[in-house]
Amino acid sequence: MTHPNDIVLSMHADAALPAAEAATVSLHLEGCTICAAKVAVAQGETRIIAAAFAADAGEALPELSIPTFTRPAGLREFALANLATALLIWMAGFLWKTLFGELVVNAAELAASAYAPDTYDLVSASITHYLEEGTSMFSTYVGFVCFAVTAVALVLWGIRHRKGGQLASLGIAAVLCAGVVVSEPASALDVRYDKTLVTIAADETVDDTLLIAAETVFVRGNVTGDLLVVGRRIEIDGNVEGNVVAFAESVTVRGSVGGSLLSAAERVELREATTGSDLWAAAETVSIDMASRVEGNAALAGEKTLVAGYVGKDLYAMAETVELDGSLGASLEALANRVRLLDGAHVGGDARLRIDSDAKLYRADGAQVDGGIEFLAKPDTAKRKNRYTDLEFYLWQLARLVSAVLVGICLLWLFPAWRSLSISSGIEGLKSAGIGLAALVGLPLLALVVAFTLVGLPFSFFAIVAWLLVLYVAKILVGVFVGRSLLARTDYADSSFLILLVGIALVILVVNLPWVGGLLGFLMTIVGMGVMVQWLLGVVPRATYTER
Amino acid sequence: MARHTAFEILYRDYYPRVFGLCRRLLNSPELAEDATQETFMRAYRKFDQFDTGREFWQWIATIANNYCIDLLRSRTRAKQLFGDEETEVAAVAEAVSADLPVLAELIATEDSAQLNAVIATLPDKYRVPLVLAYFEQASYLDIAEQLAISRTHVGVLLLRARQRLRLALASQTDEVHTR
Repeated sequence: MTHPNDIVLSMHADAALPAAEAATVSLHLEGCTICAAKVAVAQGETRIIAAAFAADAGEALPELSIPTFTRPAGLREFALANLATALLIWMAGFLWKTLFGELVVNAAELAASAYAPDTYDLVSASITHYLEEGTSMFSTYVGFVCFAVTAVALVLWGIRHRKGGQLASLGIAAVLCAGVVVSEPASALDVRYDKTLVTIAADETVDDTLLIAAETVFVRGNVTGDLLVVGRRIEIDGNVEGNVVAFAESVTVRGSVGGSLLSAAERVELREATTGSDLWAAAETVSIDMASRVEGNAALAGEKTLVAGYVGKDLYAMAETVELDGSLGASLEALANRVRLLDGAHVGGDARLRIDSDAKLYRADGAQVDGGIEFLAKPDTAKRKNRYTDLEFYLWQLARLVSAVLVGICLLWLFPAWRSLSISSGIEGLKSAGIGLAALVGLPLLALVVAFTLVGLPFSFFAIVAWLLVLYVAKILVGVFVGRSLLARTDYADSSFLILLVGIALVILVVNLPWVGGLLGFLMTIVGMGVMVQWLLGVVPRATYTER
Repeated sequence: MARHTAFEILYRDYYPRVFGLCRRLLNSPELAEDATQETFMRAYRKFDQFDTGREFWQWIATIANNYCIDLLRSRTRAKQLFGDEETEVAAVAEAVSADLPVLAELIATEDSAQLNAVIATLPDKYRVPLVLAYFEQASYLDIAEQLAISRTHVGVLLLRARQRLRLALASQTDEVHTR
């Protein structure tokens, strides 16, 4: 006789065999006392075990407290996911098209011309070559990397958290993101480069944003987009409908600029020029002749600034000498060693002068100031007031408190587990502080190193933005710890608003303490950062929810 | 608000059972407390999906099981929390040849508390199916589905669990006799 094995008999005792097999075993048991005995023993044992479990039902239960049941997480996670994606899209677009596509390249070229004139030609040629030949390729490459990283992260996140609906939503957002990132910036960019001279002829119209790099640049025609120009000598006689950004040794504008004019040079001159919006100029000498018009504000910095033309709004000037012989629609604010208001000067508003003494002001008889003249001390000579006696200080702290509480409420809604993150012991606090200090110092350093690789520049930018966010949020998190500890034994222990209000108020109070406030603020920041880093890495155990 | 109140009533009624289940699965009152909270939180979030034709206990026990098993899996370094079926079958045969006394004979000299204490010392791979089968009264098929193993594997683990209990109790009895 072949006996069923012990596993089959045990399963039969638990009535766990499929029907056909169970019937066969039952038939066998009718004629086999050995197996029947084994089954009986197994059944007896399971009864004993079940009885033991039942007898242990009166175990010590933790005190029953009803938790605060939160609303369905789907909405929160959906909002969080889309918020993150929207931020990513915005950052990617901003970073690539604005920061990297224009400013960084231009700034690099300016720096090369200013600090390494001998290698200027080489650098300029290289960069322009890159712009001409490599922009599309590089754009696609960066776009692909961003898209691939995002897609992989999404898939991993989806697999890990099994979020089908949110994953679909994120997928759509990621495709949009990819569309933004991969869109070719070069298509709207007309690049002109020549080692010596680039001329936009008077009868030529450029319909794109125009980027020019050359030793000498003449723009006599029309540009319908923005004009970005780098060179030694730049003359703009034509018409630019957008903004003008110009870096050179000498910039002369005789034509019209529809938007703002931003320029850094040794000499910036506006001669019979008009700008539809603001003028921002930094140069040794900035001059606006009497036939020129700036319809917006003018912000000028240099050794000498001379404004003989018309400025529609305010004039902000920071220079060794500020001369005004023209007309201002609004106020003059000057930080200078000397201010000269000549016969043709007309200030529509007040003149606020940050000069050492009124002797440094020359005012011609014909100069008009419609408002008053106010002498303000220079910032570096201004006496430091006791901030605690200033109402403004308290208003600012109040604003800080309100904004931090609002941000905190949003954060607790988005990340409910933060309500119960805590530091349960001194050792844990030290550990968090150590990790926070490492993050505080390490992340910017890492971002800096990555930034040197150029390709890593976008990631570096994201890292710095994330670091700044964490820096701000760290103290709010500490506020949550403090608030929760203080209210733990009161009726308000489950009120996120009161926890945040009390906790953050105390944090603000502490960081404003004289002498020790700075140090305590630093400690709170690194502890908060440390806890956040641990939470991000999943080291902090998932916490229980706030109880009533 | 009605949903909230109804759920609070369920929470009060089922908290002890869910806690008991989690405590036995995780073998730790502290972890069980967290797990119970998390179970009810998950149940609340998914409450719309609860089939009212089904017993609430079955539904919430499944949530608790899944959470606890995931937690145990995340804590173990072993590739498979519940071991390899073939290895366990071989271990069964080895233990059978040892000819251990039956549990009833051993338990005659012990009490339930002692047996529970011994159950608590079992490795996760034996304790979890034991709790699911004889505390939660789940079927082999349900256990197999939750542990992602075969029905036979469940049977093997339960048999091994009983063998380990006998072994542990036998050694305790020997210790008492030798004193």
